[in-house]
Amino acid sequence: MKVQKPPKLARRIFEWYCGQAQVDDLLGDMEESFFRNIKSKSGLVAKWIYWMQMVSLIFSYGIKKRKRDSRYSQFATNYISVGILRNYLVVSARTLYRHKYFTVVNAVGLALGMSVSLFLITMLAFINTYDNFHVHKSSIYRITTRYKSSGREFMMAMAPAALAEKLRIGFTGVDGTTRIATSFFGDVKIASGSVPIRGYYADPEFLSIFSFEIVQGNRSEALRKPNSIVITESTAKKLFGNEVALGKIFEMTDQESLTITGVLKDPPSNSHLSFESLVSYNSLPLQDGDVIRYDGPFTYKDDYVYFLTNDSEPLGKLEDYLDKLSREASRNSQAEIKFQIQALTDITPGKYLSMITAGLGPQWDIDRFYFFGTICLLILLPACFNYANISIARAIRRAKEIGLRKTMGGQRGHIFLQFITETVLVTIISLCGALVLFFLGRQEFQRTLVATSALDLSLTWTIAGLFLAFAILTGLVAGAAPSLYFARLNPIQALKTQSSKTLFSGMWMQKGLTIFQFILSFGFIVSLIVFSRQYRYSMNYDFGFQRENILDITLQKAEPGLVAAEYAKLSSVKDVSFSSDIMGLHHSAGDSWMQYENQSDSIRVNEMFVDPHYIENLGLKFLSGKNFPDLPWTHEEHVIVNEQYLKLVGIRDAREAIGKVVRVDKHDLEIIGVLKDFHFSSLRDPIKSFAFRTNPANYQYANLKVSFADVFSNINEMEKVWKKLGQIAVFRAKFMSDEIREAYEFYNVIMKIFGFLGILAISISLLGMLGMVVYTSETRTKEVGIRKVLGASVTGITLLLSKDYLKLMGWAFLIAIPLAYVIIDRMLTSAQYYSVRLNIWDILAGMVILITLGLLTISGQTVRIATTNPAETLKVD
Amino acid sequence: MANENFSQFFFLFLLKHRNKYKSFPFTTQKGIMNVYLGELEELVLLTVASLDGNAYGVSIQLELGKRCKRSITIGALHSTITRLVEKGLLKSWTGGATEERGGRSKRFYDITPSGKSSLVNVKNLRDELWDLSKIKLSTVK
Repeated sequence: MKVQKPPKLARRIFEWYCGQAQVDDLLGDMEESFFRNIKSKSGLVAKWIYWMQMVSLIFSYGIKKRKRDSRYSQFATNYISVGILRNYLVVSARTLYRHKYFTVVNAVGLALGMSVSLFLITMLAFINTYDNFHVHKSSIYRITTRYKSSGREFMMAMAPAALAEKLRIGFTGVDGTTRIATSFFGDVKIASGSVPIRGYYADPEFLSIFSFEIVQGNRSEALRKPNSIVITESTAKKLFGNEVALGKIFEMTDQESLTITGVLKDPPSNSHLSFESLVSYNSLPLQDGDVIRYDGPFTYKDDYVYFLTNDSEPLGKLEDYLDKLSREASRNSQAEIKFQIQALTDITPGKYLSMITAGLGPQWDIDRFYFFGTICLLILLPACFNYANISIARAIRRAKEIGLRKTMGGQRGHIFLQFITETVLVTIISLCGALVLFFLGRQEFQRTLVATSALDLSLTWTIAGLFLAFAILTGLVAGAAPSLYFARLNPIQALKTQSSKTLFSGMWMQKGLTIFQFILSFGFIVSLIVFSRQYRYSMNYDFGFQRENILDITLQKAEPGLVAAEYAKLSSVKDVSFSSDIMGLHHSAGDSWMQYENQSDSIRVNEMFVDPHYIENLGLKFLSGKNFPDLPWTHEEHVIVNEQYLKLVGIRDAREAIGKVVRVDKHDLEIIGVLKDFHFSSLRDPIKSFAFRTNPANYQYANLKVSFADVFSNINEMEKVWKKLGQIAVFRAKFMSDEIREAYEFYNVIMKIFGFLGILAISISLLGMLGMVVYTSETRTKEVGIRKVLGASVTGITLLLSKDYLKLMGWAFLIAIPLAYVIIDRMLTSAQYYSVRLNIWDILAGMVILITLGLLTISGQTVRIATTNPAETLKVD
Repeated sequence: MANENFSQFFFLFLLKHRNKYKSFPFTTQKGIMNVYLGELEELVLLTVASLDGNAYGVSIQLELGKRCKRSITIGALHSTITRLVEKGLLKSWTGGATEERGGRSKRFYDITPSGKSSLVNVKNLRDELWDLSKIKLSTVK
């Protein structure tokens, strides 16, 4: 028969509850009565009684008193005094100082790992302050529009301007409304030409709803009268220097002149509304009444509605009111409309940011932060892991100390606390290193990732506090595993044994994590190689047209005929042509539906409007047919298409297409030429059907074929001609080859980011390896000495010591190569349609680089130990 | 300096006499005579005395159950014992372990001189009252 035993769980709970208190006798009492009960009652009842006794004891005064006594006893082990903590700090500092090499390796590794996270922390801290300077920030809302059309739902930050009026009149809970139209744009005439100025049209309440500080002028009156403008301090400074701007009048190039009625402090960088100027809303031409409707995605273009509530009515009521207006709007239009309110504090960073279109201000996408956060963890966690790994591997060095501490009465908690203190000390040292990297990389980070003005990364006290908290947290993460390991060390074994575990034996998790780091490093190396190849490939790609020595001048408002006549006079200009877009960049000039002959279907064809010189200038090749006739343009009658178009309409022979008619926009155009395919759009897109059309009204650029002797003087000469044409706007010209090159600059950004992260990841994994190698060479000195005495060669021993790592790298390559083929190759082809593919040479180069770096890192140690005289090492104990 | 010495002295003094002054601000514990004994406390104290050196948790509980026909939880019992120890009426020491207790030690209790005198006090008080009310009670009978 089974022997009945008291319930274990009840005892455990009781012991846990009592903690350090002396309760041995009570447990004994309970057990005694249990065995007494079991003789007369069933086991279940006895157990039940045991439980009840446990509960009654827990609530009794006896336990309370014993617990209280134990807390204040001299032998209480949960009692941590300041003295003990100071002792831990001193011991930690001494240990760190004694093992300088390891401390440096650990601290550098952790510093590298932490540096990226510092950027994330500052960014998050900054974004959290968005729009928090407005006094009424918690009662400001914006109306957003959700519309359903053709089955798809969209959300936009814009709303019909007429809603503002409806809200003010129809709802008492609203204190003020302001319409904002972001469309203000103009050129201010100044003595030496003109200065472009941008801003918002806004209602007078704008200044009372939002708390932008006003320096000159009257807050409530400034935007009241038509054609008044409020400018920011920096705009005032730019235009007037130190003169008082208030009351001055802006003469605009094609608008009515504006009177300056106020000067505002520049909007802070954490404002989602950012502007150079505000113009009174009633300067806008009258809107079409107060009917709210929706005619398509561009209906409310540039219109935003903000309002301030006075909390006298619940928000729910406001929502009901908006629902009523939504229904009204839906009745008036084709789509289903729903107006919603969004709190100011929800705008940036917003919940629906990735969904809202046309939001104001920088778009801080939450998803992007998750991505960035993942990268930070990918860099930080290996560094923490390396620290833990090295610490545990070196446990034998500390074992005596720990054994002694435990013998003298140190509890697990004490040892744990001591090692956590040590780790936190290391991470705080690392924080200093990470800060250096942070300051060095800050500008570059701002430049490459975001617009500088939109992000403030300066170090404030809050952020310094966050950094410190982050360092301590990192210390806890990195130190948890080794501290637990040390705390569990058996003092008897620790004091007695001298043997150590061989590296990596049976530690599948450590092996796995080391392999993971190698994979990460390999991935970064290969991506760097491949992306630099892709960049060079795109730079030297034959687009099918001639792009050297073509200068593109933005026409702005200049008359094409005059431009052609004036510039042709210059000796450096060989030919002048006109176009509506620039080739080789992302095609944005538009498209039309073209119907070939009598085919029933129309085809969407990308188009560009050019003059007869353009095709010659760019050196495009005709498959058949000829160029547009070089005659003054009266109406559109010809079109030149590319091969791809013929393929789409199903014509094999280019000659067949000549003289055929296509129907575009209800006109019939005759195909007079067919061009060999060329890359009219960027390399991201495949070559699609394309047509050259003629119509001088669409010209945007003058394309000058030039041969410059001296670029500076020639450009100056051209600028003079530009002035002579009577143009006020700034002369804007760019070489076509430069523009195309700039379009691929993003590869440089990618390479910079990958390079930086790659260097971090690789350094961290190499430092981890270095730490392990130093440890092995310390513990295997004797073994190596014996091997040498027995006749092992230096190479043999170096290989022996490196073998472990090479094996791990081998595993890493086995996993990483297929992954690279899937992930990196997909990245390449999704970046652009015409791209390089990952090939065996990239992989090989990556492998060679990683192995070389690895061997270089460990060779210092392995060679040193392999070449030492065994007579010396065997002597040492 | 003087201040520091004083506080050090005060601290050491408190440490030394901490059992005596533990409940310092809360009670006006002047002498044994005035110690108030609850009914259960009196019962427990008497039972401990009657067990004569073999008083520990289980034996007290069994004895109480046997004599008073009253089941008292082990929690309540230990609360009472703890209070009696605090009042200085009981003393305790740990004894040897026995097999049936899973090798755990027993904590024995015995009555202190002041415990004895407070019991005597209670008895005297009762006897006095009995004497005074003897006639009335007998008439009821």
